[in-house]
Amino acid sequence: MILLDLAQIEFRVIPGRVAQGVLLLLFGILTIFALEVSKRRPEKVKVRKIPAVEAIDEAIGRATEMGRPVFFSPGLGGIGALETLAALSILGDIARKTARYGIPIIVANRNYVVYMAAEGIVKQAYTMEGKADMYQPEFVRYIAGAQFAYAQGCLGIFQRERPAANFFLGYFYAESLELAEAGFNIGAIQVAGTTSTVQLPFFVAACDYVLLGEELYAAAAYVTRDPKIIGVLFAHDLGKYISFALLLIGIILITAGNKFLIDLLSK
Amino acid sequence: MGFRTLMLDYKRSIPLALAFIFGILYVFEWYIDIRVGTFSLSSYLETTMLDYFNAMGAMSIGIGAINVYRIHYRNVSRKRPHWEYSLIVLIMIPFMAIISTLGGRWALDPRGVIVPKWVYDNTRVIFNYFYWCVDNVASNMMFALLGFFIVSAGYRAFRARNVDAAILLITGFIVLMGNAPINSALFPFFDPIRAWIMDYWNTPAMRAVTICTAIGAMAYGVRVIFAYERRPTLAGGE
Repeated sequence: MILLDLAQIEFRVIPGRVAQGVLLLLFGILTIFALEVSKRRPEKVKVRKIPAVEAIDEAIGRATEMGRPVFFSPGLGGIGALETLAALSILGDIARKTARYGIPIIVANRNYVVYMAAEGIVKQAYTMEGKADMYQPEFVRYIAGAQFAYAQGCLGIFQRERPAANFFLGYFYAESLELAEAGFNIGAIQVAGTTSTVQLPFFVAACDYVLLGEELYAAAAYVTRDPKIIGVLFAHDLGKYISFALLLIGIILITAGNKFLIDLLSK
Repeated sequence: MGFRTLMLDYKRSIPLALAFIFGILYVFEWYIDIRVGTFSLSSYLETTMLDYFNAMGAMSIGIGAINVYRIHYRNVSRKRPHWEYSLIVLIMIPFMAIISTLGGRWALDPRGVIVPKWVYDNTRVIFNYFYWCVDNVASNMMFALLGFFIVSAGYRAFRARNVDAAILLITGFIVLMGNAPINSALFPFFDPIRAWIMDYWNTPAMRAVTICTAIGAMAYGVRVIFAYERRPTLAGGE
């Protein structure tokens, strides 16, 4: 039985999105190409170091020496936010390290869907390290849905449980500085990362290491130390060069009174 | 990976397949509107699918509440330090749930059809007290604290320990002087310098971060959609 006449289906390209679609397609192909090259020839992959990612091991090592927990906040973003997904990718690697060294981790969540994902990730990390019996329900906590109630909950954890290493990775709002300053006051080594340009200066002022914008996504690949995934950083860098070239061409053209590039990208 | 392997490894392959299908679908619908008669795929994905997602999210709030209860119950039962606060949480969560159901902003029966009207009227007073005089005040207090945190973080950031920090200190001082209304009235020459710093230094730097973030987000999206990202986040483990 034919339920749908294919001739009835209409495809309409939405005006004003053609150029962005083409650019996205090109960048997608470029990313897949970079990943495939690094997958097949991992020995060719050479990447720049990200100091904040290198500091993750240092922070966990310090917490181990001090016998104090590691604190992780995935920010206020929901599970649909890419920043949150990148943060959860990094959480998996941090949780494996805390499991390996036998120290507790505290993951404080504001979003209940993120909480469920984080709980699964941490549980699995402990299982993968053969330390499933070490996992405690207190490791991953749902704090509160309200922004400042969440911040209050985290500040309470800092004061009572005194974590030695704090990770703030994800999307943050006004609570960013409260978390970072309170963490500084208890002497924790702090690594932060967000794509929110408004909150970045607060993290830079109060944290030891900061992943600026795109570095959060780069870190999600970098922490794996897997050449097959790290190759994506090549696509990041090439994308930045292309954007810079487009900006430069645009500046020259618009200074000369030519609107060709603007018209082209507006199609 | 063959079909048989995929079927055996369904815990990983099903989430990956769903991420691929819906990832491609959502990217596709942003650029191309697909219509069959009056049905529009874009509108369907924007409204109905998001409703499903919200419904699933609403169900998971119960699991969040269970976690809060479990942790605070353990604190009380094991008499851990500060267990008294956990006891207050254990009492207040069901209390506020009942009060807000009966007399909150979205009370179940505000017109008194099933539950007597006096129940709504009285619980509304209690709800308003706890919402406006406790919860709201505590939130405002946290927001106000931000001012003090900015001062302490600013003090550390603006110490001129090296050339970079000295430049930051001078720039911060000029922007501060230009932004404060009384200063711009007393020392008007700070305002154009502040505007120049903000428009020609700060804005391009912020835009550079935003552009690079978008590139990183695109690359991460490709990794997730095309299953290069196989860590526990989505795919059930390595």
